[in-house]
Amino acid sequence: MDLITRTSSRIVALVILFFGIYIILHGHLSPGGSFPGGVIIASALALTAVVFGIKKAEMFIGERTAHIVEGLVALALCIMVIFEFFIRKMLLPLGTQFQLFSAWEILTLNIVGGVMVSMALILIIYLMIRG
Amino acid sequence: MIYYILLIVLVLFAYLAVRSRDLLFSVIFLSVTSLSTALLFFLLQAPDIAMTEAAVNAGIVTLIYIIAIKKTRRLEE
Repeated sequence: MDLITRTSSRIVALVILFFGIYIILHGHLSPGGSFPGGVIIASALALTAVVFGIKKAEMFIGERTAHIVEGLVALALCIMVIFEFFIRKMLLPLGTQFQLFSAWEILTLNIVGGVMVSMALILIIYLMIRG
Repeated sequence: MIYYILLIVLVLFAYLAVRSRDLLFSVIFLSVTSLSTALLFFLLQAPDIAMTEAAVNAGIVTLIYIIAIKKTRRLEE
């Protein structure tokens, strides 16, 4: 890509990445949640992969790492859904309203879902670029 | 008032996206259409759907279409 795209996307990609993390962490307080936050994180990684080439993007998250992380996170989601009653009743307390680090079960589900969505979309982008 | 302006922009750019011969212009028109749809969802008091629409249809889908056009031809026959 040309110079203007490289210089601007070096700043913008970090801003998009932190905005996605913000959307995921505030999923139980504001609109948004796991799916839009995961898509925003994946769009930041995809911007890196398109502008700087796929080698630079694989220095952050490689294709094999993305496969392994997505599988582990899906396993964690299955375990959390199966033992949901015990987790809610015994391990994690209920939250208070309008406080960020309070509702631990919804926060954990949002983080798990966001990581899963972002890994799946970045795998699709890698496959499309390799062709 | 801005509601009707957004509806007219939506229909106009959808027509341009179908009728355009350059496929890259067609993808950009489709992105404008989805941004207008996101603003409509925000005006109809569904900010969750508006955020999802703006992130998916203006970000990822446009990028996938542009990569697909780069792999194939740009002009429609």
